[in-house]
Amino acid sequence: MSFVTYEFIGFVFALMLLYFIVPLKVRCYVLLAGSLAFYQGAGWKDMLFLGAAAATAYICGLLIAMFRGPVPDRRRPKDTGEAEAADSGRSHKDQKGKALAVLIVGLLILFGMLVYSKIGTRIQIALSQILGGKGITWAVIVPLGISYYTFASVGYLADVYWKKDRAEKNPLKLLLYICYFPQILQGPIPKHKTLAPQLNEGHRFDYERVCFGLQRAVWGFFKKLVIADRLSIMVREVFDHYLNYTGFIFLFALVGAVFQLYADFSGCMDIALGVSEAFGIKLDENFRRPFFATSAAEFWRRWHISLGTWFKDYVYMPLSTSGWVMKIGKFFRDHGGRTAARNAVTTVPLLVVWLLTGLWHGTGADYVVWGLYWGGIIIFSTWMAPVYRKLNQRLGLTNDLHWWKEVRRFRTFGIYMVGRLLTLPGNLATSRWIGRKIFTWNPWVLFDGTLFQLGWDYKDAVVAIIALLIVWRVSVLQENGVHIRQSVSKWPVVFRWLFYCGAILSVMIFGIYGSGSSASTFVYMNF
Amino acid sequence: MSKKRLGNCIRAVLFLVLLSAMMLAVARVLSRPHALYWAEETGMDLIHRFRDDYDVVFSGTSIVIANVSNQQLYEQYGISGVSVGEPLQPLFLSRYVIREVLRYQHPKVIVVDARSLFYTDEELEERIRDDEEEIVHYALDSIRSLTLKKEALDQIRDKYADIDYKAYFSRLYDKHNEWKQLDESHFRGYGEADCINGNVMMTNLHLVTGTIEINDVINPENEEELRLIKEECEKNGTDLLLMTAYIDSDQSRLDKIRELAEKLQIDYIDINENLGRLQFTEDQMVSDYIHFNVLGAARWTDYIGEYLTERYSFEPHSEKLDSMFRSQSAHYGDYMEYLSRKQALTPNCSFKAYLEKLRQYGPENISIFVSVCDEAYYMLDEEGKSALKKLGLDGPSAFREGFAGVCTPEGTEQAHSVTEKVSVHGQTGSMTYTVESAGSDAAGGARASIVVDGTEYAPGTRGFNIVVFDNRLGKMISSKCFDTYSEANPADAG
Repeated sequence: MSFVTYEFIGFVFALMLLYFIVPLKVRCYVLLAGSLAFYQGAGWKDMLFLGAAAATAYICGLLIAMFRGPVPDRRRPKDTGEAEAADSGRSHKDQKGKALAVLIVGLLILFGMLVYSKIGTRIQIALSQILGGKGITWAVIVPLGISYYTFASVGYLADVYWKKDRAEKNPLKLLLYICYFPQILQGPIPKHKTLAPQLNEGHRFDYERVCFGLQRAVWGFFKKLVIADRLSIMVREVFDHYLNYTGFIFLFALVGAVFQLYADFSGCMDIALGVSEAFGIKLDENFRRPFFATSAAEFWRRWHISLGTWFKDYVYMPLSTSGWVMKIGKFFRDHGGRTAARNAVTTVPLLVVWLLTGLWHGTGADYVVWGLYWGGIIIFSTWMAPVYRKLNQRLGLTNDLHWWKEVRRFRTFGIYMVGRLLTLPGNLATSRWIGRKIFTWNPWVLFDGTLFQLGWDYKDAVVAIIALLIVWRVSVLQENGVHIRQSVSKWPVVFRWLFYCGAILSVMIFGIYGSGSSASTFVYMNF
Repeated sequence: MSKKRLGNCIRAVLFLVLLSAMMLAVARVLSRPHALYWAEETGMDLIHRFRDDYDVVFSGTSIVIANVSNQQLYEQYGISGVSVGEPLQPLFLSRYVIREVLRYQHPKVIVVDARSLFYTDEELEERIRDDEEEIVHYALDSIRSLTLKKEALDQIRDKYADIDYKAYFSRLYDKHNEWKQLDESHFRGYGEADCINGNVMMTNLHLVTGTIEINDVINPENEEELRLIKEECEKNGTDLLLMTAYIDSDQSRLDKIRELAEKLQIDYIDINENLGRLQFTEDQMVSDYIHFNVLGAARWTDYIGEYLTERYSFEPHSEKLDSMFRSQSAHYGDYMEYLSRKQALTPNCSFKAYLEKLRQYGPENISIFVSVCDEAYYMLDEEGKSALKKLGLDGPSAFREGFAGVCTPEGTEQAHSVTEKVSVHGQTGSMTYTVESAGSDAAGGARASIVVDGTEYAPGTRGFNIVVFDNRLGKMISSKCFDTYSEANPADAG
C-alpha cells in the first residue's frame, strides 16, 4: 500500500479509531496488527522475509543477552567492588565469544538476505551464463523495505551485544519494532532503545497531538504530490530522453531533480512522522533542512539523518576503535606525525562507510562511485580543515557573515548536484555524457518556451515554483527556531481552519494524481 | 464524556463539515457544466427535483435530446415529459439511467430510442474509452445512487476498460486537474439558452446533408439490455415504448426494429411510417444528419402527444411543475419564432423583398447590421432607398461610398464615407457588435465586416452585406449579400 493513496488514508483513520478505543495494554498489538495488515499488501513472500528477519533478530537477541549477561544500570555508582568486577569480567569474557558468534550468525543471515535481494539478479544472470541457462528459474524477490528493517534488526542486535539495550523477550513486540508501518517503507531507521518503549506503551488520545501529526502528514503530501511528482514529469522527460537535450536544459533538470528527490523523500518522512505522531509515537527526524548546510559533512548530518547515524554508530565507531585501524594510526604516527595519524584513523573508516553507503543505495558502479565521491569530499575536507581554518581567519571569513554562509551553502548545493548527476541517469557512461553536454552554452533555452515542452506546461511550472517558495519560507522559519504548527495554532480559529482546509484542498487540486495518472511511488521505496 | 473531550469532538465535526463544504464548492466550480449541448444533467436534475411528477421520460441517445420537445408535449397535450439522454449513449448505460429515474418517478411510459440497438461491441468499447470516458461520466455523474453507479462500473470493468472508480465517486478527484482550464464558464450555471426540459434547441436548417453510416445488425447484447429495461419498467408498473425518431431510408433496418419490438412485446412508433401524415420535410425540419430542429421536434412530438393521449389518461400535475413549464413557455416560443424567421429569410429572395420582411419583424425582435463592400450605390433605385429608409437607414449616397449601419432596439446608427473606412460599434442587449465598411476608393481597399460577439458574420462580397440577429436569443438568423452595383433588385449573392 503506497502512502499516497486513499486506501492508506482510510487505513490510518481506521487504525487510529481502533487504537484509541482498545485498552491501553493492548494498543501495541493493535499497532502490530495494523502494521502487518499494511505490509501484507506486498505479498506473502515479502512477509516471509520479514518474518525471517524478525525471527533471526529475536532468537539471536535473546541468545546474545543470555551470553552477555544483564545490561548494566548506568545510574549506579562506579565503585562496584573488585570481586564483583572480577566475576563479571570472567563471566563476560567467557560468554562474549559465544555472544559474538551468535551476533555474527545473525548478521550473516540478515545481511545475507539483504545482499541476496540486492544482487540476486546479477548472481542469477552470472549463473545462467555459466550453466547455459539451465535450471535458473527462480525469481529474485526484493522484499519491500528490506534495507530498512534489516538495518533496524542489525542495530538492535549490535546494541544488545554492546549491552546498550535489553533483548526483547516478547516476540510480538520485537516484530512490531521491525515492521512498524510508518517507517518500514522508507525509514527513518529506528533504534530499538528509543522506539520500543514508545511502541509498547499505549498512548492516550491527545487532540492537539493528533492534529499536529495530521498537519505534518498533510505537509508531507503537499511536498510529495504537488512538488515532487510535478518535478518528476520534467526530470524524467529530460533524463529518459537525454539525447534530445543539451546545456542549460540539463542544468535546469538537474536542479529540478535535486528538489524532486528532497521533496519526495522528506515528504514521505513528514507523512511517516506525522502519522506516527498522531499515534503518540515520536520517530527520529530524518531531515533537517539539508540545503542550509554549509559543508558536505553538515549536509549528511541533515539529510537521511538516521542512515548517517546508523553508519556512524555501527560502522564508523567500531572501525575507528578497532585494533587494525589503531595499528594503521600507530604506523602513521610513527612515520608522519600526529596529524597524519589522526587523518588515517578517520579516513579508513570513512572510506568504508561511504563505500557501504553507496552500496546501500544501489549495487551498480554508479552508486559505488557516488559513495566514494561523497567519501572523498568529506575526507578531503577533514584533511584540509586546519588549512581552511587558518585561511578563513586570515581573510576574516566566519559563518556569522551572511554572504559567506550563502556562498558555502551554494557550494554545498553544487556538490550535491554533481552527486545527483552520478546516479540519476542510471549508469556512469550517461552521467559522463551529460556532464560534458551540460557545459554547452545555450541559456536562451530557458526563455524560448523549450521548458514547456518537457512534459509540463507553464502552469505546472508556476505551481512548482510557488510550492518550492513556500517550502523554502517554511524552512527558513524552522531554521530560525520557529515551530510552524504551534504558531498557526495560535491564530484565530476562522483563519486557522481556513488555512488548514486550504492546505488540504491545495494538495487535492494541485497534486499530481487522479484519473489519468498512476499513483507514483516514492523514490526511496526502491531501497 | 468530559467537557474537553466533547468540545474536541464538536470541533472535529465542525472542521470536517467546513472541509466538506469547501470540497463540494471547489468540485462544483471545477466541474464545468456541460449542459449547453448535452442535457443528461439538466434532465436528471429535473427528475430529482420534481418527484413523481412526470408522465413520460425519454431516455437514450441524442435522438431523445433533440428530436422530441417536452415543452410542446406539455403545452399542447398537458403531458409532462423530460429527456435524459446523451449522444451515442449505449443502451446498457440507458438502463442504469432509467433505473435511477424509476427511483424518483412513476411515469406512465418510458420512451427509448432504437438507435443504440445497432451499436456494435467495438463501437461500445470505443465510446466508453473516448475522451476520458466522457460518455460514461455524462451518464453516471447524474446518478445519485452509489449502488447503481457501482453496478454500472462493475459491468463496464468486466468487459471494456480499466476504469478508475474513484473518478465516479468523487467529483473533486475526477476534476481536480480542471484548475488549468479555469475560466468564466466554470463560475456560471448551466447554459439555459439552448436546453429546455432536457431537450436541446436545434435551430439549424438542414445544416449538413447526406446520411451517416449506421450498422444494420441489432447487437444481441443490446437486445438483452432492452429486455432488461422492459423488466425494470414492468417491475415499476411503467410501460415501455420503443421509438425510431430519425429519418432512415433503410427499410430493412426499420423492419428489424419492428420485429424486435414484436418479439419483446414492446410498443413501437416510427417517424418514417408517418412522414406524409406529419408533413415532415427534411429541409425545413432537420438540423443535421439525424437530428431535428425545434420545428421538426415539435412536429414529431405532436404525433407522440396524440399517441399517448389515445392510450393513457394523465393526472393533473403539481403547481411547482406546472409553474416550471409555464415559465419556459416564452423562451420556447422564442425558439419557434426564431426558426420561423430563419426559415422565412433563408430562401433566396430579392433585395427589396428581404428588406420588407425585415421591416415586418421590427427592431424589437431583430437587430440588423448592414455593411457595404466596394460599391452598392450604382444601381440602387428609389424603391431600394425607400426600403432602406423604412428601416431607418440612409444607405450609401454616392458612388463607391462605404456605408455601415445598424438598426437595433436601442435605435439606429450609421456612418458613410467615400475615402475612409467607416465603422459603427456598440452593444444591444448582451451582444456587442462592430460593423465596418470601406468603399472601393477607401484607403486600405474595399471590405465589409460585421462582427458580433467576436465572430465575423458578413459574407464580405460586393454590395450590401446584411446580417440579422434575433434579439431574444442573441443568435444569427440570416447573413446575405445583395449586389446593388449590378442590378436594382438583386437576389442574394450567396
